[in-house]
Amino acid sequence: MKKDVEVAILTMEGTNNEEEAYQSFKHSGASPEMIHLKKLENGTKKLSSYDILFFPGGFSAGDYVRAGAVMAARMRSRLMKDLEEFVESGKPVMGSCNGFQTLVELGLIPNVEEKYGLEAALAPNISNRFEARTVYLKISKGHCLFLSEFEDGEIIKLPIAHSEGRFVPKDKKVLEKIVKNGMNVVSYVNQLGNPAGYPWNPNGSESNIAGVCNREGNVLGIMPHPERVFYKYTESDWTRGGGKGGMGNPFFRGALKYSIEKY
Amino acid sequence: MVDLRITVTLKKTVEDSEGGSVLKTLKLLGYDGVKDVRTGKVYFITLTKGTKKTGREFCEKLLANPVINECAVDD
Repeated sequence: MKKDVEVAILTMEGTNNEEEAYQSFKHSGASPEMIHLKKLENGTKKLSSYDILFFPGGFSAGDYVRAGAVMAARMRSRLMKDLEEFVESGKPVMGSCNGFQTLVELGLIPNVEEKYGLEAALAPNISNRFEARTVYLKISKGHCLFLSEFEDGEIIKLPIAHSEGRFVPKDKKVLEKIVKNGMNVVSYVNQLGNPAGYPWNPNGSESNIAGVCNREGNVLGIMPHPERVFYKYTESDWTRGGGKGGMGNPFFRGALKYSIEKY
Repeated sequence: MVDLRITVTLKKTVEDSEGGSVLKTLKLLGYDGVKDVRTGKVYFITLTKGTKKTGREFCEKLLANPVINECAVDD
């Protein structure tokens, strides 16, 4: 059993929410470290030294070309082998918002064909607006390790802030495999917990998909920001209701619990 | 020197929300004859060595996601 879980929070020009992610992991009991992409590229830091990898949100490389495309292209050219080894060893990898976009551009999500090819995209929101608010989400936990601390079917609220969040699968086959394998683990719903259109589905995502876990359950990409609501008092309606932890809290507890038990 | 013009657009099957906004605005400006608007990005790239094929590699490795994009290379 590993006592000290080391988390790499990957940064580059334009990423944000790394501080929230750092605090969330730290207050879950892990040892997080912010790592600039350059340090992995020049070999100053090794991905294999860490137990968890987190891709934060924001606008990496200014969102130029496409959200997440520049970061992913840089990683594909120099670090893909390390990244594949990290994922295949079963270590947890999570990306929120821009992190999800990067994971999709890297081919780590959904990866139903297990070839790390491009099987999906996060296209501009159908509303053609930057959508920034709290959304209702339904958890279908499957065997996604980040969701182990939730109840299956639980309805939660998390903040979103994106303009390119419309999940588009490559084709029907990819979508069918995502559904069949229970990889569509987080979905946009209305306040009653039922799938619904805009504004409940803020970006027009196929099948109301807000988050996708890989088949093995150790890579999660999610458009909303769990790290922004680690504590109850950072939730939009924090004066109502009780409870100590915010709704983003279980994502980090789940990853930590898994890492402590497995490694 | 080779000058490339690379145009990246959304596939016809992918809803172009920016194009939709431009279409709506043009109609509001009184242009009733506008039927459809599609948007895209154009990259003007100068190479000291390479060919159109190099441009297509740029599409594959960075400029386009084939799930939603079409990428045309002209020299």
